[in-house]
Amino acid sequence: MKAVPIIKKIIISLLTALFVSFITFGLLYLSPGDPAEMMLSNKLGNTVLNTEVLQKYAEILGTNKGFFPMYKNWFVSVLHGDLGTSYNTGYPVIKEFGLRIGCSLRLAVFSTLISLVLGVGLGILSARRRNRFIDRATRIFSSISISVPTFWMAILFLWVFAVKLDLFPISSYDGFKSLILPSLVMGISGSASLIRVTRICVLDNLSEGYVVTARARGLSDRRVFVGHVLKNILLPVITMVTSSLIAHIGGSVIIENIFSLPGTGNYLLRAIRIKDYPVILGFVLLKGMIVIVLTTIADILYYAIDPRIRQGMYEKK
Amino acid sequence: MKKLICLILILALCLPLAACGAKKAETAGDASGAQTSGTQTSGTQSSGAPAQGSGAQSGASETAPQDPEDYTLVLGAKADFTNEGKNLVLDTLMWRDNSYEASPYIVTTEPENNYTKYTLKVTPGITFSDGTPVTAEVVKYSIETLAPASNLGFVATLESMDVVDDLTLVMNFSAPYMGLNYNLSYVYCIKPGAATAEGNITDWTGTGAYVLVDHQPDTSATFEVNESFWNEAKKPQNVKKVIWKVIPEESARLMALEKKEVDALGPDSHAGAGISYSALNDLMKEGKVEVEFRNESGSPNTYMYNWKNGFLADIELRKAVTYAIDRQAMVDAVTYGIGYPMYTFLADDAQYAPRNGEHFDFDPEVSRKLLADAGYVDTNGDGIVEKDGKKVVLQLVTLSSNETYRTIAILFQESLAAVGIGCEISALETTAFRERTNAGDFDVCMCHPWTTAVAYFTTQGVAEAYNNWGTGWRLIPEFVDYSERILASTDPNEIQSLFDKVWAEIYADYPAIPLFAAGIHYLHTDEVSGFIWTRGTSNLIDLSEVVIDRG
Repeated sequence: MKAVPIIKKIIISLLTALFVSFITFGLLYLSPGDPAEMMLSNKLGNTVLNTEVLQKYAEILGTNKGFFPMYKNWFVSVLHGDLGTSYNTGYPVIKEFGLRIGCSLRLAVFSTLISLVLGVGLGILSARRRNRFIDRATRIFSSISISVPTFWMAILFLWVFAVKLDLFPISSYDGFKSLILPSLVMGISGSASLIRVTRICVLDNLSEGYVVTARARGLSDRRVFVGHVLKNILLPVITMVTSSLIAHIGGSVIIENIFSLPGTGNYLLRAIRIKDYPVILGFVLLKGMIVIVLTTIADILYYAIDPRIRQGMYEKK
Repeated sequence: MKKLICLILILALCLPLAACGAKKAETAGDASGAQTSGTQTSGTQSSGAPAQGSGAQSGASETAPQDPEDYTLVLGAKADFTNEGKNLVLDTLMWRDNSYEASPYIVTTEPENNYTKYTLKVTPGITFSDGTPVTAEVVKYSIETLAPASNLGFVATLESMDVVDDLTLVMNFSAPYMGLNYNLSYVYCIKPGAATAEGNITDWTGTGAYVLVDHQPDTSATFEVNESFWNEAKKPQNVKKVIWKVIPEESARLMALEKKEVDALGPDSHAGAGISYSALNDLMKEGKVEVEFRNESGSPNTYMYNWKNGFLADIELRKAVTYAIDRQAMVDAVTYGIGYPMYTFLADDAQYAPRNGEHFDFDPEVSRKLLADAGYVDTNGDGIVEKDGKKVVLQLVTLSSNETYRTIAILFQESLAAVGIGCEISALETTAFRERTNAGDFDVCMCHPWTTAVAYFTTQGVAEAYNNWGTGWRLIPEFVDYSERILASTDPNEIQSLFDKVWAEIYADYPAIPLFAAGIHYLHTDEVSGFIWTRGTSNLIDLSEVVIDRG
C-alpha cells in the first residue's frame, strides 16, 4: 500500500483542522457576549458586574485585544505545542482535554461496539429472515430506537436499572460499570440506522448475479454469505461506524449530563457558553486530529477490503 | 495484510477496554498540589449507602473510630466544588453573617482618613492545613489575585497595599470606599502562588474546616476534616468526611437522593437544590425526603421596568401595570402553592425592610382607572389601549433557560391583557438576554431580586446605567449620598432612617415590581440533619452542626 496518499491526506487534514480553528475563532469572536463578562458571570452567579472591574479582568485575560492579535498569540503558542490555559479553571487545555477524552473515548467505543453488534447482527438476521417475525420485530425495534429521544431512554434506564433494580450506581465514574448504561443507551439509539442500512445492503447483495452464480456453483448458503455477501456490505458499515464513532467522541452532552460523566461534550458546551477561547480552540484542534486518525483508519480498511479501490489507486499511477 | 489489519483493530479496541478496568483518570487536584493523602479516595457510591471511601488512608484521619458511613456526608451537587463549594477548604477574609453584614474573621479592619485608608489586622495563630502561617503577605496576595475576578468594587480605587509587619497590612484608596468589609467577605484566603493571574485557584490548600484529599474535576471531590482548623466554633462535630458528587441532571440528582446515594441536595449552591416546583411539590407530598426552606422571608422574583425610556417612562403606566399583576395566579401555577405572593421587595421581617407600610397592590379595577385617567384608551376595540396613536405593547424580556421563567412571563402577559395592555415576550438565552438588557432594549425584564437591604442598595441603588438585570436603581441623585452614609454608619437607627427615605422614593416611583417568593429549598434524607441554612451565608457551606444517623 502506498504511504504517500495517506501522508498527503494527513497533511491536508491538519491544515483543514487549523483552518477550522480560524473559522471557529472568528465565529466566536463575532458572536454576542464579551468573554470577560461571561467568565465573571459564570464564576459569580450572574450578578451585576462592575464596569471597571470588568475592564481590568478583560486586560488580565487578554480579551480586550483585537481579533488578529488574539488569534496570532494562540496560533504562535500552538506552534510551540502550547494550547494555552483555560480562562475558567486556569489548567492547561491539554490537561483538561486529557482528563475528559478518556471518558468520551471509552463511551464512544463501547456504544459503537454495541451499535455494531446490534445493528449489523439484527440487520443481517432481518434480511435473512425477510418478512418473517424476526424481520418485523427488528424493524419495529429499529423504528422505536430511532424515534425515542435519547434523553428519555437514558432517564428510563437510570430509573429501571439504577433505582428500581439497584444494579448500577446513579452517579459515579469509576470503571467499566459506570459506562454500561450510557453505552447501552447510545448503542441502542445508534443501532437503528445501522440495522436498516445493513438490511438493505444484504437484501441488495443477495439478489446480485454473483450470489446466484456462487450458489449455482454449489457453494453452501453460509459460505456464500460469509465469503461474499458480508464483504460487500462492509464498506457502508465501516462508513457508518466511523461517522458514529466520530460523533460520539465529540461528546454526547445529554448522556454525559444524565449519567454524570466527565466527558468532553459537557465541558465543551460549558466552554462555549462562557467563551473560554483557549479551551474551545484547543478542543476543536485536538478533536480534529482524532477525526483525522479515525478517517485514515477507515481509508485503510476500505483499501484492504475492496480490491476495486486498490486497483483504482494503481490505475491512477 | 488483512490479518494484520484485523489484528491492529482488535488491539486498538482492547486498549480502551483494558483502560476501563484501570484506575480512574489522574486528578487535576493531585497535579496542582492539592492536599492529598497519597492514595486515591474512591468517589464511587455503593448502592444504598454513602461512600465507604474504600482504600482511602488519609493523613487527616488516620484512625477511624467508627464506621465511615457514620461520619461521611455525601452531597449531590450541580457543579464542581470549585464553583460554590470553595469554603469547605478556604476561608473568606471577613465573615458574612445572617444579615449579610461582614464581621471580622481572618482579618479585622480599621478605617481611617474618611475611608481612604484601612489597616487590616490578621487574626494571629491561623495556619493553612499544611502548617503555613497566614500572614499579611498572604492576605495581600489573596486580595491582589482574587479581587479582580470577584467583581469587587474597591479594585478600581485601590492605590496600594503595604505590608507593615507579619500581621498588619495597610490598604490605601484614591477615594473613600465604605464597603470594604463586605467586599472582603468574598475574598478567599489562599497561599501565595495558589492562583493564576486570572484568579483561578489551582492549589486548594486552605484554612477551612476541611482538606481536599481527592478531586476528579466535574465528577467528585473528597474532603476530610482539617484537624488544625482554627475556628473552634465552626469545627465540624460529626462530619469528618465529605464527598461532593457532581450530578448535573435534576432527575438523576433526585434519584440519587431517593436511593440514598447522596445525603443532601442544595448546600452546593446559593440557589439551593434548584429542583423544579412540580418535582418539589411531588416530593413534599410523598414525604420520601426532607424538604427544608432556607429562610421564611424570601426575596421575590422581580421584574424591572425601563423607567428611563419607552412606554414605562410614564409613571402612570407603571402604576397601572403594577396594579394589574395577579401574583396569586403565578404562585398557584408556577409554584404549585409552595410560594406566596409578595407586594414588597423585601419581606417584612428582613433587616431595614419598609416599616411604614409601603407596598404594592393587586387591583385590576384601579389599573383600568389609572389607564383611563392617564389617557390610555382602546379606541379601535382590539383589546389594547392606545395613547397618542400608539398601541401600548410592552416588550418583556426574560430568560429561556428555565420553564418557570417562561411561565411567569406568560402569566404576566395574561394579567396585562386583562386590563388592555399588550405584551410581547422574548424568552432569550443568557447572552442574548444580556445584550438586550445592557442596551436598554426592553420595557420589562427579569431583575435580580433584592438580597438584603444594605448589600443590594449600596450596589444597585447607586448604579444608574443599564446592566445585565435591567437598569440601576438610582432613581434620584441622593441615593449615592444615602449609600455612602449607610456604609459608613454603625448605628442601626440611622441606617433605618436612611432606608425609610429610600423606600419612600422607591414605592412612589414604581421602578420595578415584586412578584412572588418561594424560599430557597434544600433536600436531604432522614439520616442527616442539622444543616445551617442562613441567608447571609450564601455560598458559605456550614456543616458544623450536621448530624448523621444511619440508624
